[in-house]
Amino acid sequence: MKKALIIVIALVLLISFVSCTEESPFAPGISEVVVQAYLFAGEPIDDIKITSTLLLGSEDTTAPPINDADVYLIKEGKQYNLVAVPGDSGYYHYSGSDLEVEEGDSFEINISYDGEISKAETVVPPPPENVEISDTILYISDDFFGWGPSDTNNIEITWDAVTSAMFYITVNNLETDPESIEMNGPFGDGSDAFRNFISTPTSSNSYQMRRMNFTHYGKHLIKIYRINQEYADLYISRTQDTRDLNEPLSNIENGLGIFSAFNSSDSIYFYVKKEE
Amino acid sequence: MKYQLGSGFNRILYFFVFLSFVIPGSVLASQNVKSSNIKGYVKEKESGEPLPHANVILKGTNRGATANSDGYFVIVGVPVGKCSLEVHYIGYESKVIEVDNKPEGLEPLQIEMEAKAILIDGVKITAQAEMLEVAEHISQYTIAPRQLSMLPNMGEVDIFRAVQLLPGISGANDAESGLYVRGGTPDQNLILFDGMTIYHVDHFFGFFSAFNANAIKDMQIYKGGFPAEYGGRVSSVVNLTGKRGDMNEPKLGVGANLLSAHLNFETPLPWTKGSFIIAGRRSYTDFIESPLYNSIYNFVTGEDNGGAVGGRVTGGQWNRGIMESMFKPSFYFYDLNAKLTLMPSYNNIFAFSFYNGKDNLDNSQDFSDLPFRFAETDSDVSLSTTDFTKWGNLGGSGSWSYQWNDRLHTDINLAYSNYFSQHDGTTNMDVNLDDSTSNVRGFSNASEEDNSLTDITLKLNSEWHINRFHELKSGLQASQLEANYTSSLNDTTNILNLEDKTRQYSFYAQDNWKISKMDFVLGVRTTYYEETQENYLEPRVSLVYPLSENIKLKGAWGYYYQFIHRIVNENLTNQSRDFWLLADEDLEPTFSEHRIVGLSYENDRFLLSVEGYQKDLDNLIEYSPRFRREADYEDRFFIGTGKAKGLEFLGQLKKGILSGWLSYTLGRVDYRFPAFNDGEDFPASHDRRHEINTVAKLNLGPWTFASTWVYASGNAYTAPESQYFLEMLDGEIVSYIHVGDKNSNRLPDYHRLDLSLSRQFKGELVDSEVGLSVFNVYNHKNVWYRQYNLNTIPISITDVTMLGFTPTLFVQFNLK
Repeated sequence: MKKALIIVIALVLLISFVSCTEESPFAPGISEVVVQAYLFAGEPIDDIKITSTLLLGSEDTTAPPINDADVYLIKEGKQYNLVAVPGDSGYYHYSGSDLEVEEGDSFEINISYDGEISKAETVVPPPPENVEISDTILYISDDFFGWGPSDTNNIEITWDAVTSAMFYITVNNLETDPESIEMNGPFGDGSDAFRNFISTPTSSNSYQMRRMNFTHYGKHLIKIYRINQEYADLYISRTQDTRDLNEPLSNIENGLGIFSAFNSSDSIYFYVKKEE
Repeated sequence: MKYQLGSGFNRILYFFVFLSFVIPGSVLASQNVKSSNIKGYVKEKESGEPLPHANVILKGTNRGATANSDGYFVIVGVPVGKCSLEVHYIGYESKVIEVDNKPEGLEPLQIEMEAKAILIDGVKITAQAEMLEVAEHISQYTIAPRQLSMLPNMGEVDIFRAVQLLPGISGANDAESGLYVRGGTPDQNLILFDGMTIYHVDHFFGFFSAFNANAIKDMQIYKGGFPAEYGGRVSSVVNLTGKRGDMNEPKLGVGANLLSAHLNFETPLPWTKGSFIIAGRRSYTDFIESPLYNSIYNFVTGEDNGGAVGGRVTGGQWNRGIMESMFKPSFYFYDLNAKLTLMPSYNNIFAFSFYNGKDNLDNSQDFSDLPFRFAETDSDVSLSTTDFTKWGNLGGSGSWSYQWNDRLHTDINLAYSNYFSQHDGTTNMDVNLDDSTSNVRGFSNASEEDNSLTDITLKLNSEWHINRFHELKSGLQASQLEANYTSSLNDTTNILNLEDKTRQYSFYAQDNWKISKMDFVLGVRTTYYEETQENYLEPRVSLVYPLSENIKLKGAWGYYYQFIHRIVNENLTNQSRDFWLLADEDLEPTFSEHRIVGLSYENDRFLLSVEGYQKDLDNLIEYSPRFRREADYEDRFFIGTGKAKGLEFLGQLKKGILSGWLSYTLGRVDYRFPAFNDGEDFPASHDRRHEINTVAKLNLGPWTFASTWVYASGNAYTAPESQYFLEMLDGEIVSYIHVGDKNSNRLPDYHRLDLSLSRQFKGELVDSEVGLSVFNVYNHKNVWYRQYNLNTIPISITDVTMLGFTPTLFVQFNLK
């Protein structure tokens, strides 16, 4: 019996010492190229940013921009060289006037950096069609309490449904010095930070704007964007279960991030006015 | 995918069928000795209850029998004349009975066994005998629930926690009383309770197993290579036989600990031969929040670690401010067992068993006292949320067993089992204005999640002892399974709505064939599964070959199919809510092939055993609501394969004042999913390379001192490699992580020492027992998982730890 007890005690002590070895909570790795490249139909190509990953455990607090990569857009077999924006931002743009982004165009991006090539493809989607708004004026009173999905005083925007297509909606207050709506809810008054807002990606063909969405009176611009799956994937990857981490979805080959194209409806205007 | 057996297997099968008839005939012809059968019943002396799976050995031979669930045994073809029978049952004094066998046979023997006892001051006290018995069949164990009360526990005697101390069964997770058997997952275990399949096996978010040890008589565990009489799971079998209750006199037992109280009552039936038992447990955690409850609750819900379990990694603030600090959730669990046994005659037994276990969590909050006001008005706002979650299992079974003659026994069992998990959450806000403006008056949000699985199964089993060489078991089983899962928002938006109903029909036959010294079990099970309209064939073979009196060589091989999947449903804002789905043409039945070999040495004092196993798995299912490219839910399921292999060592001290065991498992579980890790193999998240368990129990008179110590190398997990930032279209900068190879990192090693001290008291009217149990004595910070917070630069890491030093008390009274 004594022997058995001694063996058990010895095992406890042995394992206690052995198990003191700690493994790093980070996987070892090397820097990767991160691409953030958005193309908007009918707009200049200036929203392309190349950065590097920030290795975990590093003392840095910002992701290092990459300003000296060779960046090309390829459309219909023709290659267009993007140049870095002066400064240390990692942004690239196309300065010529011979490259347009139009519905149905297929683009490839090709980034050569540090002997490695990263690339991705996207197609410019068609714009949302037959966009309509239910009213052009939304009245909100001074003592409006800001919460309430059941608030039926809404403005609804609709567009043609397309199978498997996804959209998002942006709303921008166009006033230079707008009057804020007094918000009496527990979250306090409206803040400038919420003057403009954007919906989450949706596969629906309508969007309800409630009074709770607005923080300022005045003229507003609404745009509906048709988005590609790669953007929806990126959006979905924003949250993770820490117990089972997965690589965020990306369409970049030999790199991380996103290369995607968007197409928007015509601009729609409406007003948020004070209820008398 | 179905696994086809080649023509080679068929030839082997025919060969054995041929041999099985030729050999017994030739052996019998060569013998000219008169013989007859010795049969009988093994029961407990004190209560008259049968002792299922008791072993009866014909001394001086390698022949014997195992009692069935009614305690009945028969040894066929025993030579006429004097012989000795040795009877063993775990936790009871072994008994030797001298028998004078007659040519015409004997009346059934009534063998009464006494629990092991010691004398203290002239009074007999139950001695806590061995808790574990390694069975003849490979990878099979018997556990005595009544012997487990002396092991360290968290207040409740937990039979599954004790099972986790066996080699090959992982138990290094404080929040999981489910069984990870040889690289399998808990849903791959067939848990039978009096013939009912139990789908939900734990209480308190997995902290306790859902079975009341006071209601269980016998527990058989097959870690693999299980015989053809069991089917529908690919990993293991836990077969629980409920207590029938005292056949001699009424008994009442009550007990309590810092979490719950229990009561059990058993009595013989006054009007006929039979018995009744009812046993219930209920936590009082909803009205008394003991420090132990708070400690466990905070651990399982993640409050100890600053947030909800599963802590989201990024994407905005997790607001747990003033609102959440003002409520206390209400939680309780209960379970109830009842069993009525009627015995019109010794060979004719009816039994009706009922089981209900439920957990209830009320996370509702009322913020009516919060000072929300409209500016410059007297209006006020009340906000309330209801958040109910309840889950559990309801079941009942009725069985009739009949002994037609010495050698033929049949039983019919009709079982109903319903697993349920319901979540109902609503948020209501009322605004009381002091004027008649037409502004917002309130709103309501509701989300519901409902999963139910109903299993109605009819089984017919027969056991025929053909001759001394063959024991044939066969059976039919018909099951109707219905699984529903709905997840909805505001009664209108169906997030997921799955309904499935199917039937399956199984037939099995297995021959326990004794060839010379060798015990050979050849079986086959076939199942027609309506959903896929396919027939699934499962051949199984096992053997035991004694190399000497003490050394046995064992082996098993078999095919196994599982027609139901438990989907691990990650929920970012609350605990995981897993749900069950039936296999279909898209999510095909899971398949497994077991290959096991082992060697054991056993004498009266101790046992040494080593087993090696390999288990191939196919059609494993992983589910992720986010890792998808299409809206169609079916694209959220990922299908892969797995391979588990390992070596297990067990050393057991069976007798003496110090008893217990030491086990070591070297294991590996690799998965391969085309969608993950570039299609390369990766360790499963429950993979642990090394596990050591020690169980020691010291009896010193009425005092019992027990300890368990568990060591396991860390679980596999996926660690981030780097961080990067992308600007979304609304201007928000979102932090993302680039992860390393899937499950390539390991959490720190797990180890924990638990101790308990208890004392028995014997009185005129009441026997009692009091004890103190301490969990994680040296307060080791075992890491449950790592939480990465991407809202900081650099990423901050929190090690979410499991339960620390936790003492608890328990008391038990048994009225005579």
